Amino acid sequence: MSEARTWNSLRAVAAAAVYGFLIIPLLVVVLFSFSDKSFFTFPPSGFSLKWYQAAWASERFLGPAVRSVVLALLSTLIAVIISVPAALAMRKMHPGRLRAAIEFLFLGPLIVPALIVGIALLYSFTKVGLIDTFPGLLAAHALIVFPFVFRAVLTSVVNLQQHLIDASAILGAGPLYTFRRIVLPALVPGLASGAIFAFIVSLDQFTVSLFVTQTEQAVLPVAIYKYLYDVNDPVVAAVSTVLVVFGLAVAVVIDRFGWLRHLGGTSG
Amino acid sequence: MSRATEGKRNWAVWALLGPGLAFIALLLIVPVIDMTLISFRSESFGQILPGFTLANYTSLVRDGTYVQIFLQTFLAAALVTVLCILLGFPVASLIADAPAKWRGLLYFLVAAPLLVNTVVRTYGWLLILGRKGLVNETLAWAGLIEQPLALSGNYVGLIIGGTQVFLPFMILSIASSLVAIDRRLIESSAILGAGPVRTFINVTLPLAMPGVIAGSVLVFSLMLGAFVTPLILGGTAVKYLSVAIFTDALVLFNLPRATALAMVLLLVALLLYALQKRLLRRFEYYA
Repeated sequence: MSEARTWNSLRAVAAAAVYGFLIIPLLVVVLFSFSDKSFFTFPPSGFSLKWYQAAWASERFLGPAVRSVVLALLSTLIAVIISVPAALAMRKMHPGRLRAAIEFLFLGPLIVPALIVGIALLYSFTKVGLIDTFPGLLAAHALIVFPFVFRAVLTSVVNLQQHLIDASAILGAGPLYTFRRIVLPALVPGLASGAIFAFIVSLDQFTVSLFVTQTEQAVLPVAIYKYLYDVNDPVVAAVSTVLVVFGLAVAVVIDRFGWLRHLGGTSG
Repeated sequence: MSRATEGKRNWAVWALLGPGLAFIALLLIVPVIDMTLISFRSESFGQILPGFTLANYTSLVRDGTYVQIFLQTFLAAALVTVLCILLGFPVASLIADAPAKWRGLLYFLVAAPLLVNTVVRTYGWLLILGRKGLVNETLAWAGLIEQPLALSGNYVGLIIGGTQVFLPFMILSIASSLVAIDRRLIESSAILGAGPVRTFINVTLPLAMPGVIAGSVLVFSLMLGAFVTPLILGGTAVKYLSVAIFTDALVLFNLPRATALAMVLLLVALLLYALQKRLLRRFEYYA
């Protein structure tokens, strides 16, 4: 039995080290944001909140942060509005090549790397004057988050039970009433999880935002990157810490719903 | 069903699909077709010239720099995938064996970093691996090095950062395979006299393969198209496909060459997606 015990302790040590590897970049960012020096020192010394004050006072982050949040909300809303009818239509289609092809198109923005979407939109938007405009940015983000909402709503749609809809119709309800009282409530779990993921994906989206904007419409991740490139002091760490805390808070909330494990393919 | 209702039904389906199809066509299909066309054009000082040419593609094959970029990008993605398997397995195995009350927390710690902004996570690695970063400062303080080690702005940083960014996907994928293993198989192996190492190699590992392979295809394709981590940790000096596309498009304004490179990435991404679909179907068949 001692061989099994050694094996298990080896595994526990290895796993602990890997957990450390996963957490350490977040930890370092948080620690550095409270540093009283503008450069990294070991061992760490001092404590200060001045970088937070500087981040708040700086004009480089607040505007992009507000823009990022508004953009995430609006692009998620657009994706929801387009996803619901699309997913309901998929339910009415016979399984086959056509249905598979349409599903492939709807998942397209997730299958095509963000970099490609970015460069394709760069050219198309330049032609129609949408580069560095909020509508252009919004269209790009709606495209990127659409597959996440569509996929989640589709799962709910597949579980939607036809006999409930038939029963509603037989009992004399009109199609709109049935949609409001039967179909929509059944879609709520998918809509909620899809919308939350879409919101996070939009906030995280760096690549496409970088390609379709210049200086006017910077979003938060791009603002962080540009500041890192120009100045690189702990102000970035302070802004980043806010995002670390926000990300972990969202993780706690969606873990409560049991959705955290279903995370997949959100980065890039 | 009568022909009339069938027709009405079809009409309703297409009406529901309309907005979605128009949206995808306008923002994805048309731009990608435009991009494809641009890759067959030539340019001069940022202006697209009339006429079509294959020069952008032939130069990708002839020019040694591009061959090197492709090779190094593929190697880096493969290395990150292998590292993710090696680092991910112990964690996935721990999760699968953990009692139910711990499992939730162990899952949480793996998935939570995915919700933190990728630029922020990569910045964390810059603080650790930079010239005056945590590793160099610690080693210098301990008197182990005189000169700072070059850990960022090169492949070392890119590989370490990429591994951390995509590791959660691998762990979740392997864990889902391990959790599904019938415990009685492991117990039988032990009862029949196999030690833990032998049980691992002969029982656990083969049963975990679907998760390992699915996770590998996912991580490999994510790393191949990754842009944030190569840009921030590798820098523009590193030869990486995504960074080369970015430099050609937004720094050198050579859109035809950038799009030709992008077409290669798109083709590989589509092939990997097809592979992923095929593998998933195969696993479902066996499950």
